[in-house]
Amino acid sequence: MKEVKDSIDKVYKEIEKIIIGQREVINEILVAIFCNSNALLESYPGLGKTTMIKAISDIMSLSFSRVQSTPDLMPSDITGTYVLEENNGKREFKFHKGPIFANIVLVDEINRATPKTQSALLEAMQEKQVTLGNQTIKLDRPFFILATQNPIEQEGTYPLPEAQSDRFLLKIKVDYPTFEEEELIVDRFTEIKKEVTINKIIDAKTLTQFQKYTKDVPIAKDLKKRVLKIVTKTRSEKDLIEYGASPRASIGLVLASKALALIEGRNYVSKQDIEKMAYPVLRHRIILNFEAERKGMTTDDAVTELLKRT
Amino acid sequence: MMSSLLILFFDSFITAFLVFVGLYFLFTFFRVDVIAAIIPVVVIFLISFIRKIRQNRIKEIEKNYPDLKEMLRTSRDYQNKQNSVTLALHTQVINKVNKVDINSLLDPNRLFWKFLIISIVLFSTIALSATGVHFFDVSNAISSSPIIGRIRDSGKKFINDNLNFLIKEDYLEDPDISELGDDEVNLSLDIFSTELDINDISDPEENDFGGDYPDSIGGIAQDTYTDKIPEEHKETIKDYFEKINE
Repeated sequence: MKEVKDSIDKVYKEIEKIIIGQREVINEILVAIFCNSNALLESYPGLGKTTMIKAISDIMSLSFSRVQSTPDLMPSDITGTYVLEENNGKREFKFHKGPIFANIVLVDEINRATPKTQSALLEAMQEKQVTLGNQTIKLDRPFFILATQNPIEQEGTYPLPEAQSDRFLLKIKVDYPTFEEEELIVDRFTEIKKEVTINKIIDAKTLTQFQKYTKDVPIAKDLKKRVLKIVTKTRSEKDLIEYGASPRASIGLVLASKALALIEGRNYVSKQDIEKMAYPVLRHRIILNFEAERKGMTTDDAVTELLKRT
Repeated sequence: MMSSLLILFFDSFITAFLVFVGLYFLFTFFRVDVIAAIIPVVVIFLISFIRKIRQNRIKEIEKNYPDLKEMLRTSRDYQNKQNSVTLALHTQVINKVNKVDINSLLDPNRLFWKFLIISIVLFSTIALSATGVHFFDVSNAISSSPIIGRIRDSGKKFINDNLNFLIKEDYLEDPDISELGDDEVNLSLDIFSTELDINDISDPEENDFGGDYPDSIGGIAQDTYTDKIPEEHKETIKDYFEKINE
């Protein structure tokens, strides 16, 4: 546990060289990585999403690629394609890997890609593999997709279907920085300063070990029951929620709580871990009913109400 | 285990003592013998002690050490699972539990208030006893009650009628005062078994003990039946015994 805590502290220290604030966002991204799952980031433009994830991949010695989604983006643009090449007078099709063949993939504005392209990511996210024709190619491990969504520009977008959004472990909300944080950001990026070098703290092998530790973190039976109560309540509280979360949410909430406990240096899950992780795990898996929407409730408000009732 | 039992015993004892002191204070107002408080106090002590033993001490530790609560429960649920994380948890729990003060089984606030109340009530009892204030004398009421008197009389009659072989008929050594009541007292001297020499009847000799009285002599204030026999009758009685002897 000490080894994990020390490594995480060093990771924070390195990230702070590049990113100012956003501690909760970084925590939640690390939770998704430790759970060997994927995360959906909802934020306004210009909040440092790409910089943040690039810094994390450098600190973890992981390969990074970025995909900018547009309406004309094709699935082969993500997975890769066969290209006819001439080699020693012989022509053959050679597979050129797409940007998905990286450890960390940032898919910007995923809601601007067509459903066909979005579904190409499904297999990669769930099975960690890509199928081209009759060939299945395994992706490198660890593998993590961070998809982003812009909440303000909804024209010409294709909202993620429930089946796809359910596959993201967390939906992370990125907020604007505080006044003091923004002041520091302006100072850092408007003045000439010497280049900051990021030290590599952990590698792929260590990260795989941490992912194993995450699953080993114990959770008390009564806390596990509490998780199940919270998720099942999303299906029964019809005064708030039209459609509740699936069992995938129960699995996600337990795993995310375990990962958060590990990141905070604890070797057991506490009640606060569950309450903290309930928001990013459930906010994209529940649909509010008309009455709740009319009152101006958000999914986070509904989660708060559910936690009170449980 | 022994230490925790001693702590629980002490706590129950203090509770019982508090009840005893309270009853003692109350009994002072009614002149009731303090022995009457023993039975309820013993009962209260036993109930309190047994209840405390049965109480879940883990819950007491969790209440006093909230950071241990989740660790203890998680460690208990995973006691049979062995991996690096759970082993680290078990070790951490053992280290933390070893630091738990056994006195956490005692509530220091409650103990303080118990001791304070005991002190105040005891002081009040002593002060009250010195003034002699009382509302009602229960002991006296019980002893002078006709029902109790009848019970006492019938008991003595039963003993006299059926068990008198157990009793020495030497009323000179009997410290109790003889209740003559309305019965006629027949005193008879058996001349053949008595140690009295009727020929050697004289006035009692006056013993001068000076100032040093033997321990066996004590003055008891009591009412005795004395019959003043006239001088001429004494001579008649003396003549009578002389004539019998001839």
